[in-house]
Amino acid sequence: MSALARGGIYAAVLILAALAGTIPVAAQEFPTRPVTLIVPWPAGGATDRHFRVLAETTSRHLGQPIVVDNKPGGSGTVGPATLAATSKPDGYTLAQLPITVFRMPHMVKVSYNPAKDFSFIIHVTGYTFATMVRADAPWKTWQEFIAHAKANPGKVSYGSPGTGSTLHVTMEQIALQNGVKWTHVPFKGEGEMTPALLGGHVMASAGGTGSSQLVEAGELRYLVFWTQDRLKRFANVPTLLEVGEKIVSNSPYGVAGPKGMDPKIVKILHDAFKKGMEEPAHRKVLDELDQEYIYMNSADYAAAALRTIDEQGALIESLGLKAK
Amino acid sequence: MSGQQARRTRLKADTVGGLFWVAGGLWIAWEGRELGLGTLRDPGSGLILFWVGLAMAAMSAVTLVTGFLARPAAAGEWADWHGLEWRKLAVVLATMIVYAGALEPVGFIPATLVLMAVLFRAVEPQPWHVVLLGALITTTVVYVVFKLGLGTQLPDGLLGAG
Amino acid sequence: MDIWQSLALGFGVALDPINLAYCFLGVFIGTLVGVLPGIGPVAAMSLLLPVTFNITPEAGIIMLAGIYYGSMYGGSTTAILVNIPGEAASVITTIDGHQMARQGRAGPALGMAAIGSFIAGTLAIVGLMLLAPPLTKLAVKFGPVEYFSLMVLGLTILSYLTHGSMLKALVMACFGVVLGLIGLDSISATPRLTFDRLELIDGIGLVPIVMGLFGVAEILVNLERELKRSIVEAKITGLMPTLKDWGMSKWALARGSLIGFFLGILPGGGAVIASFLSYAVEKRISATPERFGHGAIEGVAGPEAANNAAAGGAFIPLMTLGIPPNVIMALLLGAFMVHGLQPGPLMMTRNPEVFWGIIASMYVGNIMLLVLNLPLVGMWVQVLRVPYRILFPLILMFCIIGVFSVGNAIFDIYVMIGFGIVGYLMRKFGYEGAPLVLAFVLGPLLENNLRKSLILSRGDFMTFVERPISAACLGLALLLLLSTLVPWLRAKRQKIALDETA
Repeated sequence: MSALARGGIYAAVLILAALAGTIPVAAQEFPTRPVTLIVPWPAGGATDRHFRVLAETTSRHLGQPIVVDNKPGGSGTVGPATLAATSKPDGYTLAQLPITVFRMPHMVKVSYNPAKDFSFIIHVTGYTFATMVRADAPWKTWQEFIAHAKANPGKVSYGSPGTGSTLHVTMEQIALQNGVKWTHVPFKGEGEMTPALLGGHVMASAGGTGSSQLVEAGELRYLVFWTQDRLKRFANVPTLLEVGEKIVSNSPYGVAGPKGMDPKIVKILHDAFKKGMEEPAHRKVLDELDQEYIYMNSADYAAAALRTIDEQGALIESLGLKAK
Repeated sequence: MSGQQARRTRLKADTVGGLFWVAGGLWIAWEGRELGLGTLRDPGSGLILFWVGLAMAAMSAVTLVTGFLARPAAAGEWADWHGLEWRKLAVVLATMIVYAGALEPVGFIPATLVLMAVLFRAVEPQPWHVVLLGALITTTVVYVVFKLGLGTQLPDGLLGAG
Repeated sequence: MDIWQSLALGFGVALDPINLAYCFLGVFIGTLVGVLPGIGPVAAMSLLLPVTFNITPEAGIIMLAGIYYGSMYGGSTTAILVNIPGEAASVITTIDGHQMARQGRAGPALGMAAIGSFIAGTLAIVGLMLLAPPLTKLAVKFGPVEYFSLMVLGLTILSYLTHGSMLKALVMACFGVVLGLIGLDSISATPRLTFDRLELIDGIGLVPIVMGLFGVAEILVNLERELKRSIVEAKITGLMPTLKDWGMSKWALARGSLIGFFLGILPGGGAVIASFLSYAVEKRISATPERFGHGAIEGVAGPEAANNAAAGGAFIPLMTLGIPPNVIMALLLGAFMVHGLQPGPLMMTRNPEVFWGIIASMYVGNIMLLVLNLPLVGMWVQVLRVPYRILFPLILMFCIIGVFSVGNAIFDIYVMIGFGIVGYLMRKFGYEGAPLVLAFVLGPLLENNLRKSLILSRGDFMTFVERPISAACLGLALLLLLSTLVPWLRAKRQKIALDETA
């Protein structure tokens, strides 16, 4: 249906509702018009692709379309910040909350309070990360790599897609745990980082699964995944937990609305998203993106968010990135 | 324009411009210092800003000085401050700023109709039928091309909010 | 499978009627968004990406690729006709292209841009087809050290971009660097000059700056004088380039294609830097550099060839490594992934029909573009006769909506208006915009790679001369600098001597 036709139908519905004197205000009537879902990334990226599918599967259960609105900027914080500042808590405007929403306030001045300005609805998934080296690198396993780094302090270099990214933060967390010192080289995104690894300008890199085909083609090698469980596609590669690092790092994300939403509306949205998450089409897109299904209900997600804010603050402080 | 006059205009313009960039350069250098210079072997966030700011200030200072010494030869090329139509510029800029502010609350269609009408009418008055027809046609064409054709997320404003 | 079999397979896919239709749709939309100021290929492709969810992967990617190289054709049209770049890679075309239009030679300028784009586009596809694997190997040799030196080389060409005061151009370049550094510093994660605005954390976009400085400012300047008449008063002579034009342009086209193709492969500025570099090279080796800035046709042919060839070159890292060298290729990567295809070293063997189909479609698309654009030249020239009072509201409208559609951000519109005022004042005070844009693109890359190099070499500057590619770039930069400086100094000395004797 074209936007114009849709607009016309809504207008007609509204006029009818107004004539009958029954403009719906109560929560049990929710939703009566399309819901906007702010995705704080440009169209075409992995997250945009994921949310377009989730929006589609969820709208089947919500009974109203969910319109994806791309609002990129501020490492994924401009969208949620706009939501916090301008949207009414009526459930018609929601946003994806990437982990940067919880991390940025520790690093720069922001216009929102991550603990107080959102109504948490549902936790969906996290990204899949890995440490990788060139296929002709001398280290076949994670243990060999760590041993080498221990023996040569400061000489092992690794790339990440930016200082303060989850990938950088986790690599430094690993270094702290093992008493290793390595050299971090921050790139501007994986498009710059992966060629630098291929060209041997850095010895290792921490990134997502975008390089999987380079691994399959025998150019790169995954040393370890940072997920809870092994990946189906790379079942022979261990996780950090298996090699004894006690870390799961996945940059989790979910959906939230502005603060002060009616709990009944939160429940309606949560139930619809839950069913949308269980749809095969949604499961399939997660598989394609090598992402795990990590469901949490509204209360658990809110609690997890508060924990994440504190953890991020401590991490940022230990890395010396805290805002002055 | 006589040579003398041209020279005077140029002097004034270059002095204003030069002063502005000297001040701007110094401010940027100061901001750079605040951000931390690091060392040459390990540059901080502010190192480049600091030096670029200083370079800017230094070079603008030179233009200030040469502005005083320069011969009036090249002045005619650009220093056309006569017959300025401040009103037109102010109207166009103000209209655009108001439009940007109104776009989201009011919505694309009404805001654009008004914008186009004002631009057609207030700057160089066109007959009313040209104004209205022009505003209507352009708004429709842009809406069709961008919203329906390309699927741009143009704000619905009043029409969509219900 | 040898190359002919592969190509045959590819053309089989590309000439499928449905794919042909999508190819045409792509290049048509590309031309359109190229012509319209403000909206560029990035916005158009991200807007149309969801449309491709419902068609075959070949058709979807053929269409999106068409938008990209099509926009490179269209961008020069606006630059030549109304002195406003249709997209960022056409900034440099405004310099000589619009001067040609003012002299009544809009037709030859547009014709040269279209045919030059065709030649460069086709050469780039041949290069993509034959040289992709070895060039990929060369491209990954470029690490932070090599990038730094390449950017230094890029900055030395600044001096060729200006035809006014050198000092003012340098001030503008400094300003451009400063603007480029706004945002979160990716090395230390410190916000720089962001004034606590979240919108500035990722920096200012290139599109709002270019549209402000060149689009809005151009209109403001014209508002003062050109409302009653149309842009060009000179008689319009000839629609096609003459034999003499071809003679002057043929090597510019060849050099522009080479420069563009190679820079397109490298991550970073790609088409924008390539067009600037090509212009500088042409001006440098020209026997009559004084014609540049006053309607030299080489100043149109070289950069237009470069930005089209760069569009072709940019496909190499995506298709062979699965690594997007710029935002546009990242979008295209998204389109592949939507259909469960992963571009990369295995695509040629796993999905040959997609790989070769896309390459073949680019040949077809380039021919379509030529057929589409040449007859349009006559129509575009008529735009010059439209009175400015009717034209300017339309241009402003397209600038605003185009800039908005890149990121759905009202903030970007304000940025554009702000730079419109800055650009207007710059013109009034005799400052030029081109050095600013180049420095805006190069400055942050230069800083970032310098710091990464020093992290890797642990503060040792010798790394820049020890590595051969880097040393070569720096050597070339030094040579260029000396070759500009020496004659300039000599001229200065002579001038001083003359003044003294006078």
